[in-house]
Order: sequence, then C-alpha cells, then structure tokens
Amino acid sequence: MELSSFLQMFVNGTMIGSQLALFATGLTLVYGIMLIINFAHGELYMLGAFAVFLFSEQLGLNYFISLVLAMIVVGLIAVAAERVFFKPLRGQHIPSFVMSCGLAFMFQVAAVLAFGIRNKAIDSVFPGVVRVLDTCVSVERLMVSLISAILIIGFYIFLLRSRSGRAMRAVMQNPDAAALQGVNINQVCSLGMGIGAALAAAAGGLLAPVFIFNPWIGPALTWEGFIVVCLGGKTSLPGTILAAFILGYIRSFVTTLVDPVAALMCEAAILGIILTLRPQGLLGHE
Amino acid sequence: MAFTRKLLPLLLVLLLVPALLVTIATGCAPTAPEVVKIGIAQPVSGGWAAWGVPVDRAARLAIDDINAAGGIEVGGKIYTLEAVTEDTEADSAIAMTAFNKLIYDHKVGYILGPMSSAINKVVQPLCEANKVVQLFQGSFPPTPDDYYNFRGTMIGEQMAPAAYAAVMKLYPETKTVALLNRDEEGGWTNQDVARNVCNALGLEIVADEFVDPHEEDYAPILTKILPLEPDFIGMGMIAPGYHALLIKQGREMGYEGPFLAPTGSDTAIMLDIAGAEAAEGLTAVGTADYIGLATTPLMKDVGERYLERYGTQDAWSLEYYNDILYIKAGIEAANSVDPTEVVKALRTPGFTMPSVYGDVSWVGEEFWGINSIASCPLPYTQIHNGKEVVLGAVSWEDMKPLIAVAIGK
Repeated sequence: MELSSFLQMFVNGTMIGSQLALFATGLTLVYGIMLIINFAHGELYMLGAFAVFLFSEQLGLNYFISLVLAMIVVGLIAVAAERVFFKPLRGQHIPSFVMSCGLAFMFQVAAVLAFGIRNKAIDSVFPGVVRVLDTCVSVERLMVSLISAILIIGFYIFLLRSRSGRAMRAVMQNPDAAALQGVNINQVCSLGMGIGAALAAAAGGLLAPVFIFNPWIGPALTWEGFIVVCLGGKTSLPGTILAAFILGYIRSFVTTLVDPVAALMCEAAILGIILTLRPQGLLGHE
Repeated sequence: MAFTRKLLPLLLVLLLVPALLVTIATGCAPTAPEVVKIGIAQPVSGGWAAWGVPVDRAARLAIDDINAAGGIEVGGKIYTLEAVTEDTEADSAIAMTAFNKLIYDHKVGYILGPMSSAINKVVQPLCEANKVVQLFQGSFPPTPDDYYNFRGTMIGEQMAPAAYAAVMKLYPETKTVALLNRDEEGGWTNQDVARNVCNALGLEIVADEFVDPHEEDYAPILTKILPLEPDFIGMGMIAPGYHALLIKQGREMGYEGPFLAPTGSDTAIMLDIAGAEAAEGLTAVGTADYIGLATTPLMKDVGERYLERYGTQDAWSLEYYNDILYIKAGIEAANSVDPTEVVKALRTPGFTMPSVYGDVSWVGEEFWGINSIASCPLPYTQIHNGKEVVLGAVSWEDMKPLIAVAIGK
C-alpha cells in the first residue's frame, strides 16, 4: 500500500468520523438525559439541512447566519416536541420510542409539503481542494470537520463548566439524586433536547453543501447514529466520539481495500464483538 | 281531515313533478364517457424521484392529450383515460403494496411501472396473474414468459453497448475503464453487460465495483479506483442525483477524465449538484432535450408542451409519453379495453403503433425470445459549457450488432 493511499484513507475516515460524531453526540445527549430512543433524530438533521436551504438559498441570507438560525429553529422545534409529546411519556421507553417514530413521519411530511420531493443541494460554501502529499480533500469537507470539532468542543466546555451543563451531567448520572439536589428536571430535559437537536441540525446544515438531501434521509442516519451510540456507550459522550471515528476509519479503509459490503460487515462484526465483551459499550458505565 | 284532503294532492304534485322532470332530464343527458384507469407505480418520492416523477408527468400529459382529442372510441362507446399514481419509493415491499392497491382497490388494467428490475421480479407475477398490462422501466431483459409485460424504454443490453460505443467514437485513444454500478439486481445485470461490451471493444477493465444505491460519500471507493488511472468511469445504473455527487467528488479528488452514464442522466440535476465545470464532458444515453433532438413534428410539439407544463424537460419523458400511446393503439386495435384482448392485439406479428418518433413495433425476439421492446431510437448526448448537446441517435437496426456483443451471441 502506498503512503499516499494510506493517507487518503485516513483523511476520508476522519471526515466520515467527524460527521458521525457531531450527529451522534446529540443522540447520546438526548438518550443520556431523557432515556429516550429518539427515532426522529435523523429528521432533525434533515430539517437542519432544509432550514439552511430555506434561509441561504431561498431568502438569500449569509450561509453562517443561516446555519445558526437553522440550529435555533430546529432546537426550538425539538423543545416544543419534548414538552408536548415526550414529557407525558417520561420514563416509559416503548411509548417514547413509538412517539418518536410518529414525530419522524410528521417531520418528513412537513418537509415534503414545504419543499417538495426532489433532491436538493446547496452551492459550495468553501470551494476548492487541498492537496498535501498526494492526498486531497475538498475545502468544504475540511471546514465541516473543523466546525464540527469546534461545536463538539464548545458543547463539552458548556457541559463541564456551566451550571446548566453540570445539571445535565447530574441528570445523566442519576436523575433522582439530581432532583433531590434541586435540579429542575423539566428544564434540563428541554435544554438537552434542544441542544441535541441543534447539534443534529448543525450536522445537516454543514453537510448540505457536501451531499444531497430530501425528506427521507433521516431513518438511515438515525440507524447509523444508534450504532455509534451503542458502540460508544449509550450515555458516554467521549465514547460516542471514539465510536464515530472507529466506524469512520473502518468504513474508509475496508471500502477502499475490499469493498463497501465488506465495510458494513466489519462494522457489524465490531459492534457484535464489543457489545458481547462489554455490553455497556466502549466507554459506557455498567 | 278536510285540511289533509286538500293538502295531499298538493304534496303529490310537489313530489311527482320534480321527480318526473329529473327522470326526463337524466334520460336526455348524454351518457358520461366510461373511464379506463391507468396505474402509475413509480418512485415519486425519495432519491429515485428524479426517475419516477417524469413517468407520472409524461403519462398525465399523454392522457390529457388523448382525452382532449375525444378519448378512445371502442365499439361505439367513448372511453377517457384516468391516471392513478401510487408511490413505490423504489422499495420492493412498498411497491408490492402500491401494485396491490392499483390492481385490487383501483381496478386498473394497465400499469406504467415499476422503475427497477429488482422490484419487477416481485410484482410481475401479480400482474401476470391478474392479467394487467405492464409498461415496465428496468434494465433486466425480457423473457419468453412475459406475456403482459412490455418495455417502452430501453433495457441495459441496448443502452450500455450503445453508450460505450459512443464513448469509443468520441475518445478513440481510450484504453482503460472503471466500472461502477449500484449493488442490486439491475446493477449486477448491467455490470455483466458492461463487462461483455468492454471486453468486445478491447477495453481493459481496471476497476469493477458496486456501491449502495443510496450512497452519497464516494471518497472511499474513488480512493480505490482513481490510482488505477482509468481513461473513463462508467457509472452504470446509479440514479442521477447520486451520480452527480460521484462526478463532483471525483473532480475534487483530481479525476479529469470523462464520465459515462450508460443508462441515462439528468442534465438539470448534474448542473445543479455537480456544477457545469465538473459535469463538462459527461456522456449519456437518452436525453431530456427532445425539442433539440426533434426528428418529428410530434416530438417537438410534445416536448414544448411538456416544458411549458412542467417547467423542465426530463430525461426519457417522451418514452413514457409513448407508453400511453401504445396502450391506446392496443385498445383501438383490439376494439376492446379488456387487457387480455389488448395484449393479443399488441402481440400480433407485425403490429405497428404510433409514437413521437413515428411508427414503431415490438422487437427483440431474436435476442430474448419475445418481441417486448419498442423499437425506438436511442439518442446520446454530452454536456458542454453547461448545456446538453445531442450528438446523435442509434436506431434499432444499428443497435442489433451491439446487443449481440453485449449478450454474447
């Protein structure tokens, strides 16, 4: 294997991993705080992409302003959904899961009615390609990874240093003890849902200029996200990030060296082996 | 009692007179035309909508044209056509539900669909058992058992050889090719055909790969293919939106050679997603520009009205328009709307039917044991400076030697 091929595979895997990490972080947050398997998380990504499309392509706003607006709008939609649909079902796993499935369909139909059924694309925000040592990556994807890293680091700092972040961590560790300490569980759940949705929307908005999107891209992404979350440890944010990059590198290296089907089989095999040896995931707690 | 005696006759008059008038009016009113329902079972949502929506659009335009011209007269009765669309979402299970609804709920006798060979394997037995005529769009070749199943559009064994031959004409110095196709039934068949054709043309196949039909990130597979330095990349049966991404990402990774869409493309989507610079030189069979290609007045007329109605020209759209014309021709020839009688008429040896290209017939028996494919010409195009340029068209007669090579006959 030539060095340039190895480096290109490494770069590809890093790009894939950073995309998965940003998307799955929100999913882990929602599950960690509310113990909800949010099947509509992929639709929040989809809404983020369409929101950026609406603000930047149709209303002519600057792309970055559109991205921030998309995160706010989708975050608020998710908070409203949490208050109306999930709060009454708190603590009930199966009904919450079914409710999230219904929400997913609702968001898909809303997107069809608002934007139609055809694939959409957004013009490149960062045109050009970077070439180093015979490897190449589009500036667009490089910036997606950079901004994803900034968002994840920013979120971590919030989680570790802010009062609200400490409250969220407390609820993720032990909601009853957190309540006894005076943490407002309702507020934390809403905040968690809002931030989780905003991160998913950010992923959708950042990748909108890279890929195409339509109202039905959500379910496949949600499944990918769940695989990352389960592998990493369902309530472990560092575990989510680690799992995202492991899967990203597997997908890149195995696809290039063998083929895409082998890559899927390897991902499934790794998931099976890790969960057999450590059911709590890579960095999850028992 | 007296009051009742006076009121009763008045009541009778008030009830009977309107009833009499209605009866007379109904008896004198012209009989409403009967309706022949045409089912459209296509992916009108999701990533494959770029292929399915044109079928719906073109069929409805054709149906409206026929109805506006007075419908179809059969045995002294006038029939109008009515389109009923069910979304298959390019999924076998959902398509099965769509076909069941069309056949059992809507009671259609004619269906345009499905859009994939893999799905057709699932739904065709249902159509044959219920004697429903199918105009099917898929790559898989017909078989002698396909009594109710016809192909208004080309199959892979027609398109791929014509496409690869066109590339060799355009780029005579070509020596190597990378083949990429979607990882399912239609893609596997199409790849077999591509291999046969490339071998016959003396091309070295440096890569022979498959990708998920909905894949969007082609960087890993391009990392495998590009170091092998193919002179061109054949994209098989990958849907237009996804092959636009493949072209865009291929250019970002430094590939400068031509791309080939051997089963058709969509220029508007290419330009929107990949951009004019990346899409430069994309060679494809089939065209959206029927107005530019127009070899008959009807082609130009239908092309212009399609553009006016839908705001765009869609690839293969006039082939789907033809499908409705074939159904009409069969009904008129059979002098019946019964699908079985219509099929008997369509399968009459030497049967010709009108299309936007002029008269065509069902062909293909010498290759596949049954005449089930419409003998329409196959245009091929390239994108230059952000526009689709029609370079020529391959007739059925010119296609025959290429098909023989493709299937190893």
